[in-house]
Amino acid sequence: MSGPQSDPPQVLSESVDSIYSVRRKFGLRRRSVVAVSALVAFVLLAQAAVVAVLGHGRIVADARDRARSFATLAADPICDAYFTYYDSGASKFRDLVRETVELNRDVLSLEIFDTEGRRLFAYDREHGERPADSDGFFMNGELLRAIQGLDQVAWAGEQAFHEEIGFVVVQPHVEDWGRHRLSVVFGFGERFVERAAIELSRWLAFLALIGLALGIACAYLLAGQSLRPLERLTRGARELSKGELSHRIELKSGDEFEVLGATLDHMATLLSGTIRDLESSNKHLEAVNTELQELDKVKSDLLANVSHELRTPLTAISGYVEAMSAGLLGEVNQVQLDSLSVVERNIQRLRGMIDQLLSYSRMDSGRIELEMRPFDLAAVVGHVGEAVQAAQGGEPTLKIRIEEPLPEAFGDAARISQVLENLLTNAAKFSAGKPIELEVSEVSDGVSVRVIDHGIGIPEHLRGRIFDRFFQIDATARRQYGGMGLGLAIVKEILEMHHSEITVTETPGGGATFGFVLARSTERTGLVPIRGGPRVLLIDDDAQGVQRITGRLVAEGWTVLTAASGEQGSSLARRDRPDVVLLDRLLPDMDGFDLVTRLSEDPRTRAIPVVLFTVRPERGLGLRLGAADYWVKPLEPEEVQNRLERLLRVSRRASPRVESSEVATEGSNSGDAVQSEVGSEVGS
Amino acid sequence: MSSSKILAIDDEPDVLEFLDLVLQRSGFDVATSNNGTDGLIKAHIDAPDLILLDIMMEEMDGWETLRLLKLDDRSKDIPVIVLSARAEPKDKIRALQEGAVDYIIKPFKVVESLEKIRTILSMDSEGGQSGVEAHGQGAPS
Repeated sequence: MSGPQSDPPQVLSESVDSIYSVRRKFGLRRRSVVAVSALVAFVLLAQAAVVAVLGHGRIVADARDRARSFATLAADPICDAYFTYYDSGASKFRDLVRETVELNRDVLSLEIFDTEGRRLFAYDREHGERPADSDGFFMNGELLRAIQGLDQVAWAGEQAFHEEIGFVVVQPHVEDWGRHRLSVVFGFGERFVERAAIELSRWLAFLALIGLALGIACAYLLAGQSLRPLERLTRGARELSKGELSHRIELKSGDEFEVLGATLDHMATLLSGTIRDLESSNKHLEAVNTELQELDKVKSDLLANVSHELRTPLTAISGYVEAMSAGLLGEVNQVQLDSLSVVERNIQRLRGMIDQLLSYSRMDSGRIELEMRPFDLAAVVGHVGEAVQAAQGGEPTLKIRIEEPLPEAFGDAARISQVLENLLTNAAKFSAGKPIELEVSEVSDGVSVRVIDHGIGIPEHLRGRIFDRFFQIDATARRQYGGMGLGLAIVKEILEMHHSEITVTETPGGGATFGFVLARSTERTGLVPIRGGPRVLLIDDDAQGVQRITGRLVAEGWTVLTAASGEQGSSLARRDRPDVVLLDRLLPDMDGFDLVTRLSEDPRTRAIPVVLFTVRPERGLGLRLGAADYWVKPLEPEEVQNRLERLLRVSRRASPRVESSEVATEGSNSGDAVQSEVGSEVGS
Repeated sequence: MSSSKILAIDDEPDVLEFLDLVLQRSGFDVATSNNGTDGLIKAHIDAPDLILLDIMMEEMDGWETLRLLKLDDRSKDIPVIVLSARAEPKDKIRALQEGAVDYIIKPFKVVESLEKIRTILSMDSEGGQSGVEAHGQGAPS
């Protein structure tokens, strides 16, 4: 009991552990971190995109505004300084220009034009001051208009006079009394606007990174926090699945996990209660089972004992009666003989009842196993018919009709003979002395057997009940016909075990007809089956004798192969290797002695004991040729069986080699053997 | 040739008495024993030609008696017929496996059983000849 109980949970816990290890690779913590950070990254990216798209225009406008305000602020001082200092000493003016340019690193160039478009001064961040143009005219009309103050615009792009300049602001200088004499042109660097945008995106990226890092950290911590109760639940569940039913999770997280934990705890409590109950009821069941087994043993012992107890007194009674009738205990007169035969008949009835009782209780407790195999139904019918006739003292007569050719039936031959015996005995009981008929014929679904009597018949309303055990038609019948009412119940049981059914109908003209159908053997030949009882090969052309012996042996569970000629017999012996060969001395195609020699010379059949069977006492010759035994006909089937059983026991104990040497020794004093055989023949 | 000696072992006095009477009337020498232990001793001392043995006996039962008979050199060659009221086929098979030559179910047919006894005795005397012969040859060496 302890073995099977301890094993499964261990296996279970191993498999549970492997489940945990697999699942953890894709743990909830990792998943939530990935999810949260993806979310943060997406939000930041979207934000950056929105800023970039919406903000670009403004950045550009802002940059231009800043450039213009710078130009506005820076132009007047420079122009004033130009008028004041340029002619006297240019160094102060140049310092101012340099300082101004240094104020705004986006300014790459600074030029001063007069309203005619003459370049009066040019400064370049890279090259410093450049000489003023000799002709002083600037060809760009648009720029010229701006310089002349007609159009206050800033340009970007190719209009600039310096390659790197991408944005130009023209700032006219208007003197206090409103005269416009000079314009200052500022050249802003090509990347001026871009740099502003890049600055912005750098900030955005920096913020995004920080946001992402914070998001991941928070997600990790949060996931850890929220997964902690789940981990505890998992541990608890694992303990439970390992069979640690005393483990409690006791989670106080105040959320849904707490509910789940409490539920699991409750389940564990219930389970351990159930298991305790189961264990105790198991123990109880075990005790009951042991008790039942003991009772069953007592019951089967009781059956055997009842049989013994009932048979023992019968032994002395029937022994004395039979010994008296046989004249073994002195002379008996006719009146005494008749009385003894009445006693004897009643002893037989008592025996039959004991047998039936036992047989039925055995069947009832399911202790009977059928030995299903193909068998010769005609032979069994013949044998049982003869036996029942003999038991009934030849009254009433029995007519057996067998419709040839009859296929082999499939079933337990010994049980079917019991069925036939019970049906015939039953028919005899109610036949009112009129003949009973037994018909065997082939029908569409097998082999049909019918037992027909012309007796008192069975009232229709009772036909369904006659197969109930202990059923008797009425109390009068019980007294009149005897029996215990088990015979037909046994018939029904046996046929049910054969998947067949007993039917009862009214015989035309009065009486009852019992019938059943047995399955046909599906095997092509009935010679091969090797199961249960010993296998005998019977080689004899005397059909009647063969059938009598076969019937007896088959009914006892033997397998009988028959051959009507020596040739057929020897080929069957080689093919099927029976346990014993029973051989008639006189065969239609050869002498039995020749066949004995042939079988003992063939290595395939040498080990099989061969019995010679004849009407003439020639024992010595038979044994000398290698026969295992030599029997003189006629022999009753029962005697044949007894002798065969003895022979098989002897031959099984001795190896074939020893046997053949014994035969040789026997051969040397064959004369004695013949003598003793002849002697016993004369004696009996 | 003197008549064969038969030892009957059965704890049922009526059956034992009946066997004694019928076997004597049929011309055998009869020894009886009402329990297994006594039966074993008689089998060893009297050296019967055949033993009839009951199975269901008090104290030492027939199975044990049969086993001891077959274990002892003095009695292992004596044919034993089991006489039993147990009709189960498995008992019959067991008896034959344990070395009995036949199994007769009680209540038995007297005439038929006597015939069986005669057959076994006649077969055994034939088989015994070679046994005696072998024994005789073995003695001088």
